[in-house]
Amino acid sequence: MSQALHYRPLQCERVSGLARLWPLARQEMTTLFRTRWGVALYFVCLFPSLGRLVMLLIMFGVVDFGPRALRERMTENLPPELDHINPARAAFYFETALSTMPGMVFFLMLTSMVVARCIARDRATNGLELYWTRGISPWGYVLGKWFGGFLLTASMTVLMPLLLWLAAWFLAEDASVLTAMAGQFFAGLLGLLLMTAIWTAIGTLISAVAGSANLAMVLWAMLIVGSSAVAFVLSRVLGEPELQSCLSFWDAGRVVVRDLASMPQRDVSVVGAYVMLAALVAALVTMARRRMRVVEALQ
Amino acid sequence: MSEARPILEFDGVTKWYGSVAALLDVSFDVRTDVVGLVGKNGVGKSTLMKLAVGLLAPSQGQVRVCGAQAQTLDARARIGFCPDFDRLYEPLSGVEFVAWMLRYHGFSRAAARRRAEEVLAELGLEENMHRRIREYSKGMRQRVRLGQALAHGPSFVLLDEPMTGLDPVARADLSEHIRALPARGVGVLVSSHVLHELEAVVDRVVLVHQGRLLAQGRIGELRERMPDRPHRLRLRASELRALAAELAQWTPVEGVAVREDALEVSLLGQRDFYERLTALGAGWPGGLHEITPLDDDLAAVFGYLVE
Repeated sequence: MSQALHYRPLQCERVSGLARLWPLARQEMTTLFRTRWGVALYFVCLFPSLGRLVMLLIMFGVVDFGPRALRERMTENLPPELDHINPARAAFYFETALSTMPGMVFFLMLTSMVVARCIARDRATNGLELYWTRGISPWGYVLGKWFGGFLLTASMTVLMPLLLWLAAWFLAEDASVLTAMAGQFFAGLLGLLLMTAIWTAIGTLISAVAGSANLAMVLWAMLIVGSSAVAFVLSRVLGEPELQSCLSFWDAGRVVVRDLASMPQRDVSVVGAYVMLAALVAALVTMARRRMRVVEALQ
Repeated sequence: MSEARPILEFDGVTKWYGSVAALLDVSFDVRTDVVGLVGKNGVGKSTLMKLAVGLLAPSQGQVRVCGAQAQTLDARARIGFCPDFDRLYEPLSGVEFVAWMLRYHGFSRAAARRRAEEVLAELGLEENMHRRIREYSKGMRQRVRLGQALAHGPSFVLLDEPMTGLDPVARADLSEHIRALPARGVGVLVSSHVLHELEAVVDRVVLVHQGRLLAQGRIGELRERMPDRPHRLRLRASELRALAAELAQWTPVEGVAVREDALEVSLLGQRDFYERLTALGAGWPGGLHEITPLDDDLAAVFGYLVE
């Protein structure tokens, strides 16, 4: 059949749904690294984890360039409110992912460039039609985009805490303290995995709903920062601190992770956090379904 | 050249958007030939194209690609779609983009890469295929678009405005590639507003107007089906007035007008006119310098039909 273009017979015509999704996810995951700015951004986002690694090195005496008094203070038995700087506590390893600063800020930097833009960018360039004509369903497309963004984000929010914990394991003279909190740590890690999945799903759905990549970035930033700000103000004004975890998208995630890891937390509503996140996902799925013309494209 | 079995088949297709009919009872087919899709903006052309590649489902009737419903995976594996936008994945190189698209058709990474290099080289991008798409000219982007549509070996290719923005050399080159596709067993549907360029590429045309199929067939045949429309042609020769007087006496000639340096002749039917004209030209002082049909082209046919 072919001459110059060497047409091949269509023996590969049936491709399973998952086989179609992986190239999409892989592309999404690696797009950031195709530019120097993207690579730089990614490594900037790893700074908090690197900072934690330096703390570990100081605390376990591998390097000795910190003030001696500080080192001594840090290796003492720290009170519970300082768990986030105590390597013997799970909170130490989750701090880079769950704190407002640096966690939320770096999370926002990374996801607004990758997750929030992923679908809106394709729509703006009419790229969606290329996928539809290749037999990728709209939800399959959303799933592939989400998975790529999730893997990239998880390399910061999940992989980094895990690497820190492993580093602590190798650096500590007595690893029994790490063994003792291993259950809590891995439960929290699973919680982080879940939250990263939910956070990136919300970002992906916002991208599916927004009219342009820039608008998607703004909406995403407003949702993370804005909901935290509004929740902070309202909870203070109304004197209901629990409102913070019910209204702030970021805080709700933090509460869920801590709940799954059985970490102590005060003045939060765990149920409210779960309900808030579920409601947000449901609302965005409904809007995205309409926006992506799912029914039409799947008929 | 064209096979008996249709590659793309529209069978009584109607498409409604709410209470608005975008297409009404449209039937035509594409075989192993190049078919031009012609119509003004807003007459249902885009809807027709989306139906052809399975992006929309018909409200009534059927759209089939190689016998399969256009929206099934079987059909989509046989479709190559060359969209009209040129903002592709800018950070990728041309070869990476085409290879990436091939992954959705079940090619392994290595096979996709090899195939992408092969196709882009055939399309004349061998020296630039490894550069980033953001650095490409319009013509290069067009080749990448065409490459991704052809690389997986489709049976049916839809080209949406493939000539837009190309320089004359690139247009001629692209036309050549399109013309070569039917010989490889590919049916092609081309949509373009540049009618004279479309005419140079297509075997047949499908004319759409106000959601209906106005006409389909070879351009010459369509023109012949309009006996009430006189054929107009321009003649350049010496002694124009004498030639006009001679021609005015011929039966099919409806009228002759003398322009600055040419005659404009209107004919009702062309039966044996050209034979007689050739004979006349052989004995005419200085001969006939030019005989140019003025309204046998696609633009004229389309204009007459729409009127």
